[in-house]
Amino acid sequence: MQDNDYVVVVAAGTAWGFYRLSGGYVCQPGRTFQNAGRMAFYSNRQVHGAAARIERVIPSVELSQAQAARRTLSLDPTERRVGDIMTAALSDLWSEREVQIVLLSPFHSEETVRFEPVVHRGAHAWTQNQRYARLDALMSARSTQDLTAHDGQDDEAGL
Amino acid sequence: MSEREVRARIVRAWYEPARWRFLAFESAVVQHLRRALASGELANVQVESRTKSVDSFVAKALTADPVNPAGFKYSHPETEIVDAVGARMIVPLSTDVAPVRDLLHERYVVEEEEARGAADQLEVPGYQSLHLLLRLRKHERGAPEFKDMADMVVEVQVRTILQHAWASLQHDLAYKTDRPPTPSLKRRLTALAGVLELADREFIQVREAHGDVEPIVAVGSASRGEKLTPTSVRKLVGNVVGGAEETDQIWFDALTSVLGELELHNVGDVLRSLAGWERRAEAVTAAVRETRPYANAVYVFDAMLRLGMGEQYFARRLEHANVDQHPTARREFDRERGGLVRAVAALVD
Repeated sequence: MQDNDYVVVVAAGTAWGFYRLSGGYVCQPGRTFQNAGRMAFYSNRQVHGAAARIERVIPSVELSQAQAARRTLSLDPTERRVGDIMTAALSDLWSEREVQIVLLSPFHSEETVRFEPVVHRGAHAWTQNQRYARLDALMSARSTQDLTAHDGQDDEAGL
Repeated sequence: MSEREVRARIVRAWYEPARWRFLAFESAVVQHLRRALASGELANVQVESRTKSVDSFVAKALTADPVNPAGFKYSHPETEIVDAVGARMIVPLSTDVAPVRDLLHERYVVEEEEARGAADQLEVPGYQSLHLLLRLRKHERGAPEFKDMADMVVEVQVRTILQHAWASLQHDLAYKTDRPPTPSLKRRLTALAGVLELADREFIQVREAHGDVEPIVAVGSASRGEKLTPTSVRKLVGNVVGGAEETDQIWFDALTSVLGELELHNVGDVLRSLAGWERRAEAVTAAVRETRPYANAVYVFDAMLRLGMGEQYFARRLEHANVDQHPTARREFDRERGGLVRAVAALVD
């Protein structure tokens, strides 16, 4: 069962901007996030200030123009959102392949908890894959040092 | 052994075993071309094809360089001879060539195009044919029938029945007789080309006088009575929204299915269903792309249908949809439509 106070923080690269644009996260098929009910993004030496609610995970789907077209034009709102995310990914030059799509609460949604970005001052990246943190810890942290050790090391098992 | 004999041996040794691949490509690409023509309501276009024989390929590889006759025109015949696989599309009259050309441009990557013997290039009539060098579009290259052949090219000639008759006669006289045609015969062939060109024009005028003002094959721009096919839908979206050329054809296939669910049967039905929103196409596009900058022309057009048809859009599509929770889907439809109406209103006011 998902825990809405448990946040998976993913190494973002372009994913933070992609989430802001599309309300979704695209990754390799079958990636797991333990029981995290929320997702945040780490890039440019900070955990960006938004913990989106994980609304739905589609573990494996074909990312293609055909699938994007069919779903985007669907009457089903969930299919439409998936199609939207696919279209955004394809326009972002993702190649056609099997992917996992995570539907997240949009950046401006009430369901998305906003907080001050958490800076990272360490010599190396705070995460290169994903880590976990409690929501209240993210909301009160001034730097990643404030996120205690038991909030999670890099999670290779999720990949 | 002469240089020509050496080259002939090398080219033959390469092409003989490779020819099976060209034959397989010919089979797959001709079916692909026929399906494309059928989907564009051009199924009555006659399609022929061939893969060059070994002797024909070798002969072409031995073609002399026009600048330096001692050398060869093709330094690397295996890559430079691009018509190893060729297809020919024969249409009734010259006005029927453009729709076929348009369809090929929509469905394929056109590497080269040449209108040989185009009316504005010739002082004397003669050989006329449209030549296009085509490659599959990226999204189709993964199809199983094109495995290991996705990057191959096909040369497609498009010509009329009369042009084909003249070209066939001219080819037979030039290449299949013991001696080339005399100057007198060449003059008569040229005159015959002129006669056939006049005949083509007369056929067109007869057809138009009869009242059949549209070509036997599909017209270039959509008319209201035109049935909805992916090709006519693409033209319609291009006319209303613009940007159709940047949108993958597969989106128009999907939109055509949606229009079927909406019980819209022709272009006129669709235009009526837009209920005036087509006049605000620019504002609708801007409103959509404010939150979805990646939205393509089909997305915008579908949004316009939702705006124009309102409840009817939802009701008609619901009959065909496998929507798990109707109330949620209806709420989302209304919410999205309402937001778009407000966004457009804010832009035009």
